[in-house]
Amino acid sequence: MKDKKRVMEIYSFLDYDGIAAHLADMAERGWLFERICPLWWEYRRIEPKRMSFFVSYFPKASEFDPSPTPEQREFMDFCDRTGWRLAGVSAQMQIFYNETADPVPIETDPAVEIGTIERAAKKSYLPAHFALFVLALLQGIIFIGTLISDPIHVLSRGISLAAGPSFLILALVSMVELISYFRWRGRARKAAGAGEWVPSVSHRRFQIVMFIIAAALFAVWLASVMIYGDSLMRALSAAMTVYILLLLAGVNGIKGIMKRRGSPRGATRATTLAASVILAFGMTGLITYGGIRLVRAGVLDISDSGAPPMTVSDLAGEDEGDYRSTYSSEGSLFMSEKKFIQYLDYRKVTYMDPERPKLSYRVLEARMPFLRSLIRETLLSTETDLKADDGTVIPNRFEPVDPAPWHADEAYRRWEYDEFDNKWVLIYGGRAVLVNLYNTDPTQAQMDAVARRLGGADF
Amino acid sequence: MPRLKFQTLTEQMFYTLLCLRRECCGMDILDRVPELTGGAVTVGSGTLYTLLEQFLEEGYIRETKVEGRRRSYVLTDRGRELLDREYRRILRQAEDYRRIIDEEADK
Repeated sequence: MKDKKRVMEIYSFLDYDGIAAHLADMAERGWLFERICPLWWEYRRIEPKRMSFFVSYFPKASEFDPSPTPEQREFMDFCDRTGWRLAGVSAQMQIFYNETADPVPIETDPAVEIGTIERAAKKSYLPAHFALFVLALLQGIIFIGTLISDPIHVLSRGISLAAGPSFLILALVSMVELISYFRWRGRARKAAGAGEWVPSVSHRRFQIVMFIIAAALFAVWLASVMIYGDSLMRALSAAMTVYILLLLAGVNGIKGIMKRRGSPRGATRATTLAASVILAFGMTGLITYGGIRLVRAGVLDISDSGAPPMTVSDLAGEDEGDYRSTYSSEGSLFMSEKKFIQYLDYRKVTYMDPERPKLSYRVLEARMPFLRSLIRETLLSTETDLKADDGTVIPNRFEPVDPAPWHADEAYRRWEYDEFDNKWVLIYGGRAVLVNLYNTDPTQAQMDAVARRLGGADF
Repeated sequence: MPRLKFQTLTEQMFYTLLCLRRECCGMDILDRVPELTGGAVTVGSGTLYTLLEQFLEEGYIRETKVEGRRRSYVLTDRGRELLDREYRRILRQAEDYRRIIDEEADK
């Protein structure tokens, strides 16, 4: 039978009643709280017994103190006198337990306790949540702005789908914490004036729901990478996940070593901050360098999505050695986006022949039926009528044409000023293709190639 | 207008200061207050720690002895004035109570 266990607990820093009740319940089930770690709480096995727990706040404490400080030891001596033993410490929060029946609580004056809690909250809880709220809200607003202005960019990238809403969740959680604190403080001060207590604020269910949503978003991102990412993306995602865990472990490990050695608070804080910056930049650099080396050595094969579905060679039998191209491919559970452009490289040819073909395309695929109209409208709206200075409308739009030669469900050709050019939007079920053949009037063979390679048509 | 700190004392503040009329180790107050009051008033260890800090800061008590982590304190003149003021306030309340009760009894 295990003597220790780790449990991921979700409690607000100021939910002293909830924490005390939970730990008392755990003790009755044979588990005594030992310490709070960054990701979990640790318990050790004991004989099941009824115990009282008390969450006390020590404003002078710091997460960077070698614990316990002389002042904390003095406080602990006071508590020990009435049977309260220290179970664990986390920054300004101290958790005590008492095995006697009906012990005198550590705090017996509501006004004194509220003052202590307020001073402790000002130390780290409030500044941290304010900062988190502001930063997360900014990121969340950027995400919403991008979702509105360029929904394709967000919906086709698993990381955007996960990160954006996660920031909004973080902002919401921080906002709820702050509002709850100030509301509690107002009620508690009023009640303390009459010598009365108010219970601590708990919104544990809300926090658990938010955690589940965040976990689901992480799963969406993971699924997007595993199913639609190339080998490089998968390797980078795995590396970044390991990086975050190593960074957490490394920074907390260094902090723990400094504290165990009895280093002063300032030295521990400075070393921890320096370690977090160095490790963050260092490991990011290492992953980037390692990725490049592995790709060059052929260990990581990016050809499975590095190859674009169509090139000028497929279109017109051109020698690709004379060309330069850029290709990107993104995908998520909702949508995928491929972008490609290929043109003559002036460094590789002696003459930039205007008759030689160029090619660019953007292929959007909606994996959910309700997104089909979005991808269609997104590509059709890339060209819009222009207005001259005198107010005349200059036509610049996609006009419907016969889709049959393209084996498509719908086909549109750009009408610019007073003639058609070689830019098309083609719809193949859940796939929308914007292809620009520039100076090439497509033959049937070329339209067939576009339909097969870009549209995924089978005929 | 914000209420002044220690303008009126809670029972725990009062009895803590009362215990410190004579030099006393801070921790011993935890046992003395219930002895003094027959168990009617108890002071929590955390509350006492904070009160001693606040009284020290305000100059109502002074530290007289430090033996390891055991610190002893005693009231200052300012502390005695505070305690006396609170005592007179409580007496006035008791007198007001007595007067009203007697008036009602006379009716």
